[in-house]
Amino acid sequence: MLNFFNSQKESDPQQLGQVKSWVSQAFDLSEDVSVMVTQLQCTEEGCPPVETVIAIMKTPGKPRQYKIHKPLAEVEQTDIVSLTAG
Amino acid sequence: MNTAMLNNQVPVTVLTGFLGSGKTTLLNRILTENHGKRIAVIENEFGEIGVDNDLVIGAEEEIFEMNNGCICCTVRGDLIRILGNLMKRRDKFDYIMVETTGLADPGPVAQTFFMDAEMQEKLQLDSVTTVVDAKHIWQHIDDSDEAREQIAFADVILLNKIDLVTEEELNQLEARIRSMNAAAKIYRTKDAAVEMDKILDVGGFDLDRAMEVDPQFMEPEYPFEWAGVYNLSAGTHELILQDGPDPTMKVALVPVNELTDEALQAAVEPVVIVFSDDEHELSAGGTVQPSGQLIELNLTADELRFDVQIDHPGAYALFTEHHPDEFQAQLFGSGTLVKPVVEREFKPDHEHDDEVTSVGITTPGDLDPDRLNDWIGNLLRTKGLDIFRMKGILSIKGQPNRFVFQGVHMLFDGRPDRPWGGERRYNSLIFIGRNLDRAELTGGFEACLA
Repeated sequence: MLNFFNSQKESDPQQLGQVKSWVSQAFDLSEDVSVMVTQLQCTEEGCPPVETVIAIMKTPGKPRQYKIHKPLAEVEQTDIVSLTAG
Repeated sequence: MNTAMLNNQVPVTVLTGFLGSGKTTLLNRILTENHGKRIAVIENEFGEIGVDNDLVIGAEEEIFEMNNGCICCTVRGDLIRILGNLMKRRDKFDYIMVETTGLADPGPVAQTFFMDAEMQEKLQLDSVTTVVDAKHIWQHIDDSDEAREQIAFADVILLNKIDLVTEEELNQLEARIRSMNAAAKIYRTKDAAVEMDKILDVGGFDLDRAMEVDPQFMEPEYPFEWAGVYNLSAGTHELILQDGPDPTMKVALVPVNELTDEALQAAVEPVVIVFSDDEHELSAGGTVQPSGQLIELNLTADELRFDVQIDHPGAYALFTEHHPDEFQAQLFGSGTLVKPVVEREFKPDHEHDDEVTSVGITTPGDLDPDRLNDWIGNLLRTKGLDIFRMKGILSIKGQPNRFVFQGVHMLFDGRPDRPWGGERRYNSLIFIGRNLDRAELTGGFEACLA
């Protein structure tokens, strides 16, 4: 369910930096590749309330997007590594 | 000091406007005027800026969609990349301007700032500013989604090139724009000449200033379309109407203090309450009295004449459900036409029936948080694509602090604000978007009241 009173916009900058760095390592990205990390809320029952979405913008065009079905604060390095297998 | 400065964030202004509107003229002004800010520019129409500035970066609009089944939003990939690289030179600038192409939809640009967690931390979207060519906008306003969206998204609108149009044309254009976006600040300019503090650091997306924009925009939908203040002598007057588009019309006649606009304004709120009462039906030939009652005139007779009984001479305000012109309604005293000394219309000009509109809701009372959560979740899921902007102040039951929020399409940001203290608790919010159903939004919101 959507939680209007906790819009999940506040992300821990340290965790954010950590996740971005895991993404760069796991995908072997050079420094100039932008990585976007965000949290999306879901408004439907049965969906995880918050998921972490990662977009890797290697070249202009369509970025590669990945989803992890947990909030950013709970994302671990193994979650990121497992994305590379997909 | 604004919130961005307090948080060491870089404020960002998004500049939109059709080709030829004066957008680049404004940008050049911003870059050359003495405001003490070092400005980095991301421009889509590269090479137009006549200023030597190594912080001018070209961008190619690159939109991608993010979708998790419930929330769908489009963001600008190019901006994320460019801003990411720009922030590595953070010490070189204090402000960022993003200029979009004339045909750009500002939605993805604004959503980009809501979407990326790192950008949220380091940047603060200050405003969307739209430059409108006062002479040529009419060619686009009816048939270009982009032109309408640029107006709808804006916190600040410059009606530029005012030297090319008449005052009357400007008033007409401003009314049209106001009906689409009731929240924006509108400035009339020639050669995009505007004071810099009207453009920079305006706090359009700043939650602390969410409802500072313009008190006018909270103007609710009134149950009456017109009111006039008359100077009436004691005795019987006659209200005469002709056949019109409706079989009935509700009216209320109330005494007011004087024959002024201020006196009319003071009567508005009490008469809104009168219009929520049960109406007393009155057939032709009946008598209207300044009793503060809601009277429903039955307009189905052949001859539509009503007596108006005044016992004490003075100033009286007549509020009518429909505009009197629709019925050629006129008031006569001893056979002489009595004209209102002041009058006011309460509805925007519906001539164009815009699909892009603003819906403002202001209501006292506390909200049930669970009901509000369900309603807004469902609203954003089903109508989020049509809701361009929303913002408001809410009074949540059991919470001592005001709750402020704002959003772009399906993305929003909200948090508790300062305590209500002794202030009367109320809710005040605005939606700006396409195909908004005012009754549905108002009804849905009011159903969330505890």
